Amino acid sequence: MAEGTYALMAAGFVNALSPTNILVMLVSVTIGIIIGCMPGLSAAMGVALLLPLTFGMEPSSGLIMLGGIYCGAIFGGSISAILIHTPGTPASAATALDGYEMTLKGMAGKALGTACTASFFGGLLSCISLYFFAPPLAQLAMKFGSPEYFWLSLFGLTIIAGVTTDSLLFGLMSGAFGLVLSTIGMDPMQGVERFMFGQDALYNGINVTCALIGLFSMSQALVLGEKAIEKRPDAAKFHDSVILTRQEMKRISPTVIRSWIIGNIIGILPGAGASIACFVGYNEAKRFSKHPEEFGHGSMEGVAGSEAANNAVTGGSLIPTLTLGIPGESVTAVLMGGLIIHGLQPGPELFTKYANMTYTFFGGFVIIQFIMYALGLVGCKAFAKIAKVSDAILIPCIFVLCVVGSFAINNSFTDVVIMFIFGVIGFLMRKFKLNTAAVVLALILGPIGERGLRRSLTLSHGDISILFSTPICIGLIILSLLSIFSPILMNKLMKAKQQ
Amino acid sequence: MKKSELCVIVFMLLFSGFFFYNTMDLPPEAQTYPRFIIGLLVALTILKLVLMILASKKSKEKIINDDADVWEGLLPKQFAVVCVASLLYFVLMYFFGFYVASLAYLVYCLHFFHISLKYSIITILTMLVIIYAVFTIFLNVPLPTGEILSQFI
Repeated sequence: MAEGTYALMAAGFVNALSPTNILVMLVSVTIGIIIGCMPGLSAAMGVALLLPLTFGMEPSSGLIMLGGIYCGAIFGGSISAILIHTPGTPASAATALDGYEMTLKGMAGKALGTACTASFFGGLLSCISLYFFAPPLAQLAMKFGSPEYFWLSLFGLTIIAGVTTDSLLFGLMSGAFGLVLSTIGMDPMQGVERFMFGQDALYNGINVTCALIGLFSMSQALVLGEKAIEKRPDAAKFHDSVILTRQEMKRISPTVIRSWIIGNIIGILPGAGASIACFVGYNEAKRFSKHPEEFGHGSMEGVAGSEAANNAVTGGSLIPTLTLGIPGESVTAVLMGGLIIHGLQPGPELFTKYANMTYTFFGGFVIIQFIMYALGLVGCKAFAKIAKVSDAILIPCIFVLCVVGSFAINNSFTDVVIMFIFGVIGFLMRKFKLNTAAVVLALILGPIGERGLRRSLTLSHGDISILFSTPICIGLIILSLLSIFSPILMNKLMKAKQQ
Repeated sequence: MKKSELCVIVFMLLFSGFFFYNTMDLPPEAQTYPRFIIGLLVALTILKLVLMILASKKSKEKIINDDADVWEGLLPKQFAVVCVASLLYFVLMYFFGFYVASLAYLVYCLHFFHISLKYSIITILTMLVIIYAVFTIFLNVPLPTGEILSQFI
């Protein structure tokens, strides 16, 4: 790594320690933990809902805020998983298995302490890969021309559509649906209006932030509003210490390191996410444990394995997001939307022209882990109480925040209407098992892919062989085909194995 | 073949048809890319339909009504109230501005969900104070004052 990079890292760390950034981190991690510990609310919803708050901030502070909500929400899910046996987010589903058993044994404090410690180390260690893998990958992106960007956008879509939906074809259809919506607005090459239906507000296309808020936040309010409001169980009271002893730390250390590696790899692989990582981390912790019989009956290693893995995903998933513009999961797709709103494009420029901003964000991401650790240990009892807030209160509050957030983007009522339309689309897509993350990604990647394709064809005077002219193009085509066909092959293999 | 999947197929085909029809107004150079994308969507939709038909022939099952699965747990009255209240919230905001509309919307929804007076007051005050502090003071967003109220302010 170049000497200049180390200087940038150090400068970024110092910038991240500014009083404003520390305040932003404290607020965002707190909000993130609250969102995470409320069953029914997701990290993606939280990041989308609070995206407009970053408009008045420096880009680095804005990104730190979104990162804080992301990390806080992933950790926050464990509090309700441990104390009320209901994972706050899908990322903590595996934590509930042993976390709640520990609570039943009167060890809720220890379970929370384990979750907190494992999350801290998982998140902190994931920053190492963020620092060291992101810049070289961004350098690879420097070799990308128009044809490569076209294939990259297709690869991003195929991977998120293929992995995060029950039906591969429904996932791909969701992506194509989003691509059609991404053509709304001014034609980038010809300068003519496309599908604007007389609405000047659509000149620059569909506002991605409005779509994000609608698809992830308003649709969530509608999902909560359609079903009977259930009373949440009381969080278990506990009196044991949340601080782990040296022996306990020693016991969970190998599990934390293993889960960190697992979570990181899963995070870097586009398409997979924290909800998958927690189960893989948990299973591997059980496989390597000296006491596998304790799993399912209140094992500290079980909690550590799940929590270290899901938090290790956070740093890992930012690598393809920031360098190639391929988000690993829906929450990073929302985060990428935040990046674009601040006028920044994922890719090599983030590590050259905007390197100061990027390394400040990285520095902030490290400090966020410390703040999350401290807040988790000190405030878990208070957060557990907040987790009891009824959906009946959350529904109107989410809705009001969706409205004010979408209005604040351009001070325009049209944006509120767009948010509302996407809220309804998101709700129906969830009902009919389509993929909302693929739509968001298509809205972001669609214009990049279109520019790539049309510029390539202009350069080659209409000769499509330009799209297959470089090894990177071929590599991306192979990866796209693999991402489409690997779930089918895996299914067939699984069926054959079962038979 | 599930009814819900068939609904998605029909919607996607109608959606593609609508956008394809609208490409006819575009100059030829501007038609190519949208038509390519629409073609992709149609191809994927038809592929899904063919696979569904083949699967239903194999299993000798006709269309399965899975409404119960799709709308499991739906409380029609409550959902209708949530949706209508949200729509009215927009209308109120247009005439009376953001703060008045939000106050009315929050009061109505919290009352509808039988939230106690104490928690309702705490929620409403917290929400309005947070929005005022963040959006009006910090972000300096000129939230709508409404067609009617703006004549008096």
